Amino acid sequence: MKQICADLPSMTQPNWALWERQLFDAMNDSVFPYLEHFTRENGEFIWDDAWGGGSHDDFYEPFFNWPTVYAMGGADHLLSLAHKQWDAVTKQLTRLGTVYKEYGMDADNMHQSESDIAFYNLCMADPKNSINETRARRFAGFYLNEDPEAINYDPNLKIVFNGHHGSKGPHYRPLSERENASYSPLGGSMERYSLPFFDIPGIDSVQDLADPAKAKQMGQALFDRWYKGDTPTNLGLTSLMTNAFLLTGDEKYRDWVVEYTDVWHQRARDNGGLLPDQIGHSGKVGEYLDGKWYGGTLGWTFPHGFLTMQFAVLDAVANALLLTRDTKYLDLARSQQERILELGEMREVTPEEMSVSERWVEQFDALEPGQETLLVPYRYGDAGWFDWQPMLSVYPVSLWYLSMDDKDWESVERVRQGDIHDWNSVFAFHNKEDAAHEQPWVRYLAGENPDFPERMLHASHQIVNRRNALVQEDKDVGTRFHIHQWQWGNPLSSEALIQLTMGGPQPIYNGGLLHTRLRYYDVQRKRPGLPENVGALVEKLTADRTVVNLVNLSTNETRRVVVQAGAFGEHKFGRAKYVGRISEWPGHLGGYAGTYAPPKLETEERSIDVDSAHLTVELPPGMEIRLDLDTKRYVNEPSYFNGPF
Amino acid sequence: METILATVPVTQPPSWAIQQRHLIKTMEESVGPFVDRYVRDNGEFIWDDVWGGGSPDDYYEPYFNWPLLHLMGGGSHLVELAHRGWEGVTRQLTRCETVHNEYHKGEDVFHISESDVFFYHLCLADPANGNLHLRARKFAGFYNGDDPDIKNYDPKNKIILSPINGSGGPRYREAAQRDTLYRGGERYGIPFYDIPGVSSWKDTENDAKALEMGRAVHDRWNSGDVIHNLAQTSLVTNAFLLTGEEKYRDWVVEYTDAWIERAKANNWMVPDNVGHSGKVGENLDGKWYGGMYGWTLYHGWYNIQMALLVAAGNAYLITRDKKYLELPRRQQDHIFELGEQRDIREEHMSLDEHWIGQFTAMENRTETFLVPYRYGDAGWFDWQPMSPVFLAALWNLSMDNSDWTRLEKLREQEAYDWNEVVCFHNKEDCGHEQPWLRYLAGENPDYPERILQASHQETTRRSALVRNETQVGSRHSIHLWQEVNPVSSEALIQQTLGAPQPIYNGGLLHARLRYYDARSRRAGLPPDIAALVEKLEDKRTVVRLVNLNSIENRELVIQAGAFGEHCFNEAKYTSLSSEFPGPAVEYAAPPVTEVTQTSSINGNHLRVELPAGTEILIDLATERYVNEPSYRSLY
Repeated sequence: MKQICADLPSMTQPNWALWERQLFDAMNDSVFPYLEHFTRENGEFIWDDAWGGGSHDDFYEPFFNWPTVYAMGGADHLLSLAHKQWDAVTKQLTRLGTVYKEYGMDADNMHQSESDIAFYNLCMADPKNSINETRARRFAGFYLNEDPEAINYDPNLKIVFNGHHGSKGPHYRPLSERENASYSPLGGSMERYSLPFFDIPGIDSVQDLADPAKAKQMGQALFDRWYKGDTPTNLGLTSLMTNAFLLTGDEKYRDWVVEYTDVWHQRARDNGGLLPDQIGHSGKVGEYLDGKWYGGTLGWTFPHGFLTMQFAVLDAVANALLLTRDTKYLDLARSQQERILELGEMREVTPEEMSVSERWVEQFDALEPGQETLLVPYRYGDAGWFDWQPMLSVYPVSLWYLSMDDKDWESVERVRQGDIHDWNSVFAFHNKEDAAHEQPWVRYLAGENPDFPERMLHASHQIVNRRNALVQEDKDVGTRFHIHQWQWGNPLSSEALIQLTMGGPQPIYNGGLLHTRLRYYDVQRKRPGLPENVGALVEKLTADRTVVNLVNLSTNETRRVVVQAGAFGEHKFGRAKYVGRISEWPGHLGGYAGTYAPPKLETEERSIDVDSAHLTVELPPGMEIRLDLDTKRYVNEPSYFNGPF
Repeated sequence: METILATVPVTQPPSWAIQQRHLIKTMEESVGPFVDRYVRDNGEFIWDDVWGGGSPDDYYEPYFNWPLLHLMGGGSHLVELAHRGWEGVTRQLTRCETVHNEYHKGEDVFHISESDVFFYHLCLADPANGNLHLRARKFAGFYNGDDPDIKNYDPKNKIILSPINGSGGPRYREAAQRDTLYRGGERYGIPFYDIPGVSSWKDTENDAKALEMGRAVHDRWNSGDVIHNLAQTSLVTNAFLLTGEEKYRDWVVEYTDAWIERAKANNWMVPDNVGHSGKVGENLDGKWYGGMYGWTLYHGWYNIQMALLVAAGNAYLITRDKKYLELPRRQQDHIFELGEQRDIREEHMSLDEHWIGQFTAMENRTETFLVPYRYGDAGWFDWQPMSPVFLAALWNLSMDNSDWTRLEKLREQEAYDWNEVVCFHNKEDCGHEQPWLRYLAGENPDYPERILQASHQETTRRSALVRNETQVGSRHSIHLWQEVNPVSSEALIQQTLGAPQPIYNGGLLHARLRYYDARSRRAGLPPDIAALVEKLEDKRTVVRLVNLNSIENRELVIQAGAFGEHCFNEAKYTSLSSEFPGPAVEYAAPPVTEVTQTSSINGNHLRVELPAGTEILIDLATERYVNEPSYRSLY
């Protein structure tokens, strides 16, 4: 492996590096009071069995990013505690009957994927742990029909049988439920999502469901139309397969991802670029929806439309690109996004009509009364496009990140230019996905937001503190409190460190793997992540170039780090350019009075051919380096085992 | 003790705070490799006895600021290693016969005071240590008459009897040594300009002329008091701060007063020599200049002003009488008036390495304001920058507008930007007063961060020097150890204590604040707490405290004055008026708003609780020099 030795003394001890290390330290410490407060000795959440297992994702989500922080350089205990939590919660939920064979029994894939990411991140951070491989094979097997109890997939028609599925196979609602089916969301959290169907006679608005007869009518329509069939949300399952591939290299997993993504891709092409949202058991689009391409489970009409569907699409295209190195897969995400963007209009905002209006609070704060901003329709029903909201920047940013294509950057710019608020601003919040600071990050990568790293780290630090305070103040533990309390209290935030150290966006929350430009390994500790005292900052990303700064903040210890091209070794470095020192340092002691300062620093440009997915950088005490790395993307077989340790 | 609670969550965590804690940690970690490389397990330096004990200061100086770092929050190993070093070196030098009875046997006080600062800072950092009490009394006793055998001082004429003094008593030159050659040197020149045929150091390359000069040195510097002996007021003040005994205060007042009288009699131009009869110029044909370490040789204004500031600071501290500050002030005025714009390329500067900061900051400019440092028969010479150290030290003591104005006048005359931070670490661990003062004036807002970065860079460089050098065990430069001491206290003293680095040649720590960790019951800031004094006025101290820890609550005590000499009347401080952390369902806390609260204190201690992730800005109404000063530690 090629090695470079950094020999430029760091003049400033850069603040971003200090804050990165501070953030690691703060998060390393913060898991203890969190676990102390919310969990039992054995790792189970303090929760009475009698209250049931609810939606199992709520039990896995609270620690989903712990392995990721470990993999970047967080303490060893973040990994071991995440493992312990996963095992404990799995045991707890098995007892409560929502998990079977260590996997969700019958969830829709939007929720199942929220549990899955905790598992993927564990596999990524700890691939040598054989229990991970055993589980990964078993879980993928539920969709390869390897387990007779879980025949979820029809390989002829290439469909997942149902919108709800899991370790016991497709989940069909008992027919006995049809008679008493009813849908009346008034006063509940689902009311704001309006109607699932607009073609039921006499039901024109959600208010009409106040009438029990109409509620029953709607309930039965839901039962009939959503009883079975595949839905685009199931594209998130490609991550379950890709995860197994990255652990095992077994071709069957790649084949499934390609086959299943291809078939959906073709359906989108046949539908003018937008995915149809229901495929029946005979393989027909809209088979239980009078042939309509919209109206399916977690589809275009209800409840989230584009919002969640595009997450699953981005998961799948990224997985397919990773496994095949073929950029054609990105067209699926791109065509969906372009269609939605084309529909966009400059409009005044009417938050009361937005289904997820809480997402836009900060953006709308910047709006003057009467001012217009770019809104796009997220949902489609019989009466056309509706639910106009801003385009979440995570979609165009994620797509651009995968493609590094100018035309995708233009889409990012289009969204930015239509957006009234300043993308350079960094607002301190930690949302469910631990994401949504893509905007100031891409402005930083564009060279327009130079102090983003520091402000982003400040924001993350502030939120870690806030979450610790929430945990400290919480009085509800032990009661039947809000099931989301555990994830709201999770003190870890990985977004800033993923952006800054690995040069990637936070993975898609619903099922996304960690697609990043770089990853690190500590030579001395022989483990993933940055060595102690080392800060890393990716400052530029183009299709064939990666610029990263590394600094050793220790004054007395040398650190050695392996920089890997791609989280899975999927990329490759070509030539590495950097600046080296030609003047003397630290200089001589001097004579009578000594030397009060080092000789003036003089430097030269250097370069070496790396021609590998790995480069070792030796960082003597107090030294820094800025590496300008020619990068070939998606050229290597990806694997969790591509790292040196 | 009044307690206030920090409630404002850290939202825009200041980068100086993290740089500050990083610097403390780095220095804590860097003393280990230094000690491992240069020091034997018994605390002695790796140095062969046959090479001799040289000038003892060179053995004590490498550690001098370690106790200060501990005092501000550095690990207790700093004091333990400093003690071990002090005792090891003392044993080593006793064997080499330059130290006797644990003190310099006989040396000029310019050099003695360089050793003494290490001892003073140890006493400050570890005031309950009985050995230090015994030593402090013993050392002061060499001068105040307590020691029946060692009489360095004549109470009648109020003079120290020789320029060379110490635990061996006044040292006089032996008559047999009168015919010793004295050769001048390019750096400092010659001691006298009235020896026939000797007008420059080059003339003393001639043996006959060197003999004449040697005889003059013997006759003129053999006995009597010299101005630098004023620095011994610190030795006696140190004993007072440890013991509170009046006799020490009395001596400091008596001896300082005597010099003030002599200065007054010479129109506030302090003479540099006094004979045994009490007459100025007794051994120098009546001249007020020409004494050892006086106006003509070696350093002139440089060390004379240090001695004046040291004595004035001590006398002011223990009498609370501002009049003592006139001594350095008048001298500053005199020298300032002599200043001119000159081209630095055309001046021979005896201390040129001291000006690395300002000359670097001048870039291509060559003319700046210079003052003459030395005086001889041919008038004023040795033109160099005035050094901000002295002016800043006086202002720190007086908080007087006139002293601030002098600083401003100097700034206007100098040819570089006082906001600039040049990275260097000089012998005295000082020289960044200018940008600090600009910060206090509100004109240099990012100074705290930049000086911390500069200090860190130098610590890193010195650690690298330690790793790279290969001379240990050989007869290397005796200055090597101090030149690679990785600890720098200047930035931390400015920021956390609100004070300039103490005067190197004998100065005590005159600081507005100091701290105690109320949980671990020790001196210094608690772990993870960063402190920044943002404003210093005669009656006002503004300090910001930040708890960088995300889960641990911290408690500390702020003391008014390093020796408790000041008093806090009242604290106005920031307090949270918005809801925090707010509802868990929200992704962010509600916007943070603050109000100011007021607490009455009327004492020299204030307890502050800083829960995890909080900060507080405290505006303290301060009465300066109102309490009896003492090293007494709260814990």
